[in-house]
Amino acid sequence: MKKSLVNKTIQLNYFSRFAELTKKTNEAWSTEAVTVQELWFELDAQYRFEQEMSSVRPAINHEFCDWQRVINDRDIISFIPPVSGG
Amino acid sequence: MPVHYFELTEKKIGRDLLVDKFSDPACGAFVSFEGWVRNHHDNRPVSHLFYEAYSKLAINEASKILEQALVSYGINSAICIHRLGRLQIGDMAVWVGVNAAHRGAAFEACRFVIDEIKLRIPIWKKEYYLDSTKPLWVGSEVAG
Repeated sequence: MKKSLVNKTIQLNYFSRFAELTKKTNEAWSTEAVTVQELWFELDAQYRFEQEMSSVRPAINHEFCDWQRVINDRDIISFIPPVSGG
Repeated sequence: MPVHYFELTEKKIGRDLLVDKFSDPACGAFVSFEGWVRNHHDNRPVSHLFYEAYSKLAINEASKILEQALVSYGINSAICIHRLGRLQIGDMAVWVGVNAAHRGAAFEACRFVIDEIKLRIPIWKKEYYLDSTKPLWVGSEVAG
């Protein structure tokens, strides 16, 4: 079986502009994406974030991660739009 | 023993109580930074701000920043408090304090902490304007 066909159910958390665009702060999401980068493309096609990927940072289970990080079932995943604290 | 602490709060930041935490006979220097809400941005009049955060990730990442400040600059303590929710012009949005044996390390560490907090911590600021401009998530460059 190809690894990419393994289905996972993850939790997505949305913040800031992404929460406004999706009209959600979180949702359960079923995906065959292997990496967070593949998941980003999948979500971007769904919601049209209009945000350069280079200005976004992915996070899994409340820690930043790289775009090639492999997704596991029940992971908590967020895509972090440009921050502006301070 | 070196300590560090980070907090997100919807309550007004009380600097006097924070400063009291830094009393230490081994430290000859205390440096703090306060970020206040400004009434303008990019030539637009700002009426107020709204801050939100990804709290768990913010706390995890801030802990790394403060730990790095302690190790890299040899300071004694570092505390950072960041406001969330609606803030008015003049309100304190962020407070950073550090103490150290000498002023050089304290100044440099304080600068390091606020710079890294602004760069890395998942906190977002939505600006509301007095003119007809739509509110803007700062940094995202799309009005929402």
